[in-house]
Amino acid sequence: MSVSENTTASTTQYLPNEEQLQKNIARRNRQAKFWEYVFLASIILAIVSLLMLFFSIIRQTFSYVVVYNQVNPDTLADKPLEELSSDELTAVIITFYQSDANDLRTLVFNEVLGLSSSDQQAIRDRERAKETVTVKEIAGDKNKEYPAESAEKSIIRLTVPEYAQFIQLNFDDDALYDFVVEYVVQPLIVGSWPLDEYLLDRDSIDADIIQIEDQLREINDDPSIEVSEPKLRSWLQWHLIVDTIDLSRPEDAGLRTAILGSLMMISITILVALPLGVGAAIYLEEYAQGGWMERLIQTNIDNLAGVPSIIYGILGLALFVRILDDITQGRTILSAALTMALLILPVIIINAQEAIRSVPDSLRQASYGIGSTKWQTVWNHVLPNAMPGILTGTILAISRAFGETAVLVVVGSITRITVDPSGPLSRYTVLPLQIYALITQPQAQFRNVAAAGILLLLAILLSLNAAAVILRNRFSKRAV
Amino acid sequence: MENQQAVVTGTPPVVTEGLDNKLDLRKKARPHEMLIQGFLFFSGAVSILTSIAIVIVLGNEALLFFQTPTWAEVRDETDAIVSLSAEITEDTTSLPLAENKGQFLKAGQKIRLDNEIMQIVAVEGDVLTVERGLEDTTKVAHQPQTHIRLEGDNISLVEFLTGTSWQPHIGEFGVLALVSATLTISFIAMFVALPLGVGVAIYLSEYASEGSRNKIKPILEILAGVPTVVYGYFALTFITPILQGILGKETLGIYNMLSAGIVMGIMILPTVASMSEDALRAVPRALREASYGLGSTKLETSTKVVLPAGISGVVAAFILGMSRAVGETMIVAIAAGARPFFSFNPFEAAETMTGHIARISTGDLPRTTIDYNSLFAIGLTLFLVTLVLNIISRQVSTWLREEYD
Repeated sequence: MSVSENTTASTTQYLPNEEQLQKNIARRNRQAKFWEYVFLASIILAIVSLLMLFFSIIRQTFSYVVVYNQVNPDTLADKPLEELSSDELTAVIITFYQSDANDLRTLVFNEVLGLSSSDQQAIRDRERAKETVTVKEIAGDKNKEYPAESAEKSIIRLTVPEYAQFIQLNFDDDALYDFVVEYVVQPLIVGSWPLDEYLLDRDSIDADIIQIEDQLREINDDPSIEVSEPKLRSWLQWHLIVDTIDLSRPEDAGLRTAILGSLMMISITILVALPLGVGAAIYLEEYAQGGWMERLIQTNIDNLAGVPSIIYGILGLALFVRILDDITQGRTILSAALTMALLILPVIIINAQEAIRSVPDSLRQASYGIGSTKWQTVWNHVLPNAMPGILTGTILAISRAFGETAVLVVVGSITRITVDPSGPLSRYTVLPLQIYALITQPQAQFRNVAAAGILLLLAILLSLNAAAVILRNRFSKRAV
Repeated sequence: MENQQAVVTGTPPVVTEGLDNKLDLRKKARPHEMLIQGFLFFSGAVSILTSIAIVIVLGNEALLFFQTPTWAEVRDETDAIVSLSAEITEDTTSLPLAENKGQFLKAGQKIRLDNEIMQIVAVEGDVLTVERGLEDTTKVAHQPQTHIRLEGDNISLVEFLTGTSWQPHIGEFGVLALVSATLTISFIAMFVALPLGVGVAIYLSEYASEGSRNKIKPILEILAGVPTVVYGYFALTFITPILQGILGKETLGIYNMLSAGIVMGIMILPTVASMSEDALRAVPRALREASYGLGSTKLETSTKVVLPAGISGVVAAFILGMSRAVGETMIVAIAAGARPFFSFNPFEAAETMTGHIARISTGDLPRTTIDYNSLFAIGLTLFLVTLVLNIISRQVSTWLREEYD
C-alpha cells in the first residue's frame, strides 16, 4: 500500500507540468540549434583553413619588392635609359665593360651565342692548341650576325667595342635595353613583403625600407644610395620553369632540374609499381583461394599502408642506396624511384583490388562457360572492365608520390644540383624537395620562390586529381 | 530454315571423325600461364618481402647501434671541450694537450681524433703516449684544436628508452628527448583534429543535405591531397606569425611546437572526419527513428544515440590520426625547429623523431658514423609505435563495434 503511494507521489513529482514541459522543450531546442551551429562552424573552420592555406601561398607568390640598382642608371647617360638609341646603349655597354673584356666575352657566349659550357671549353682548348677559332665559324654555326671586319679574328680575342657591336647586331632595341638593365644596372631585390602586409601595414614597411637603405649606404659607403619604390612582382614567371636553381640570386632561381627530376622519377616509379600492384591485386582477388597466404598478404598490405613514409626512406637508404649500390649507383633517380614504388604499392593494390572486386561475377562465369582458362578470363574480361578503377587509383598514387618529400630527404637527393638528370643513374632533385630547400634558405626572398614553386606543384597535383575524378565519374556512369 | 537444316545434317560426320581420332579434350598445358601465375604470386609476395626487409634492415642496423661504442668528447671540470694544442704528424706518438687534463685520461683507454682510433699507452702530465691507427683506421696528421673523443660504453637499450638527453656529440642517446616533442605535437594535433573532425562528421552525416555533402566532401579531399611540405610552409610563414602576433615574440619563437601541431591537426582533419563520418553513416536508420519517436531533438539523437553507436569508428579514426601525426615529417622539419631537448612546452622549439631523422640524413651521411646507426634505432622505435597504433585502430573498430541486423 505504502509502496504504491510512494510511486504515485514520486511520479507526479518527476512528471513536469505543462509550463515546465514547454520550458524544457524550448531549452532543448535552443541547445539543439546552438550545437547545430557549432557543428557547422567546424565545417566552416575546415574550409577557412584551406582558404588560408592557399592565401598564405598567393600572398608570397605576388609580393611587393624594392629594388636596389647596383649601378645608378642616371650616371650612365644624360637621358633616362628608355630613351637611348641602340647606338647609345651600346656605348653604355662599352663604357661599363671598358676594362672587363673577359666578363663581356662570357656574356656574349652565354646570352648572344648560347654556347654550352662544354662548347666554351672546346673553344678554349682549341685556342690553347694555337688554333684560331674565328668569329665567322662560331657565329655562322649558331646563325648569328657578326661584324664583317672582325669575321676572321679569334672569337676569344675581340676588343670590348667589338664584343659590344656583336651584341648590338644580334639584339633588337628592346632586347638591348633589357641586356643593359640586367648586366649594367644590375638590379637587386633587397626587400620583399607579402601582398596583404603591403596593402594593410604600409607604415612599418616604409620604416623597413629606410632601414634597408641605411644598411646599403653603410655597406657601400655611399650616402646617395636609394632603393626603388615598392612595386608588385609576380614570382611565378616563365623562367621559373625553364631555368635551373640559383641559390645566390632568388630572382633568377628556376626549378627546371627539379621538375625534370620529378617527372623522370615518377615515370620509373609507375613502370615498377603499376605491374606489381595490379599483379598483386589480381593474385589476391582471382587466384588466392582464401588460405592463410592470402590472409597474410592482405593483413600485411593493410599494415604497410599505415607505415610512415620516412620509414620507407630509411629502408630505401639501406636497401637501394647501400646494399644494391652496384645496380643503383647509390643516390640516383633509380634508387629513389624504387623506394617510391614500394611506398605507393599498397595504395595501388588496395584500389586495384576494389576495382577488380566490382567486376560482376557473371562476366567471369560467361567466360569460363565458353571454355576460357583463368588467365584468359582475367586478361580479356576482368582487367578491361576494372581498368578505369585501376587507373583512378594509380593516378591518386602518382599524385601522392609527386608531393612526397620525407622519403627523398632520407634517400638523399641533392638540392643544389643544376645539371639536368640524364638517365636513371644520374643524381637528381625533385620539386617538393627543392621547395623544402628553398624554405630553409636564410634569405627571405627564397620564400617567394618557394611559394611560386608550391603553386606550380599544387597545379600539377590538382590536375592529376581532376583527371582521377573525371575517370571515376565516367567509370561509375558506365557501371550503371 | 534451310540453313539450319544444312548445319544439322552437316554435323554428324565431323563428330564421328573427331571421336575416331580420339579428340583430346583434356586440359592443355599452358606454360606461359604458369609463368604469369608465378609473376602474380611474386607481386603479392613483394609486399611481404617489403615488410620483412623493413624489419630486417631496421633491426639489423639498430642492433649495430646498440653494439657500437660511443665516442664522447673529453671535457674538463668547467665542461669545456679538451682539444689538441699542437699539430701531431705521422711520426709523433705523443699528444700535447691544450691544458693538463691527464686525470681524465688513463692508460689503456681508447681515444679518437677525427676518424683515427688510438690507444693510450702512458699518461705523463699533459703528454699522452699512444698507439696509433687502431681498428683499421689510418694514421694521419691532426690539426690543433681537434677534439679528443673518449671511447664510452655501448648504448644500452634501457638507456636509449629511458634517457631524456639526446646529444650524440657527448655520447648521450636518450630517445625520450625526441619522443617528448613527438607526443606534444601529436597531442596538439589531435586536440585540433578530433573536435573539428567529429564536428564535421556529425554535421555531414546528420545535418547536411545530400547536395551540400557532395560539395563539402571534395573540399576535404583537397585538404587531404595537399603535400606535407606545403603544410610546413603554411605553418612557418603564416600560422607562426599570427601566433606570434597574439602571444608576443618573446613567448613564441619562430620555430615552435604549437604552430606545427595546429597545422598538423588541420592536415589530419580530413582523415579523422571522413573515417568518423563513415562510422556514423553506418549506424542503422531505425535507431535514429526510434530516438525521434521518443521525442528527442536532433542533437540528442546525434550525440546520445548515433555517436555512441558509431563510437568504434570514431575511436579508430582518432588512433589512426594519432599514428599519422607521429609519422609526419615535413611539417615538423620545417616549422618545429631542430632542438632535441626533453620538453613538453608547446611554445618552445623541439625536434621530433621524424624531424631528427630528416635533419641528420640531409646530405651525404657516412655509413660508419653513429648518427647513421642511430637513424635506424629511431626508425625502429617509430615503426613499432605506428604499427601498434595501426593495429589497435583496426582492433578497436572490431572490438567496440555493435552489430545491428
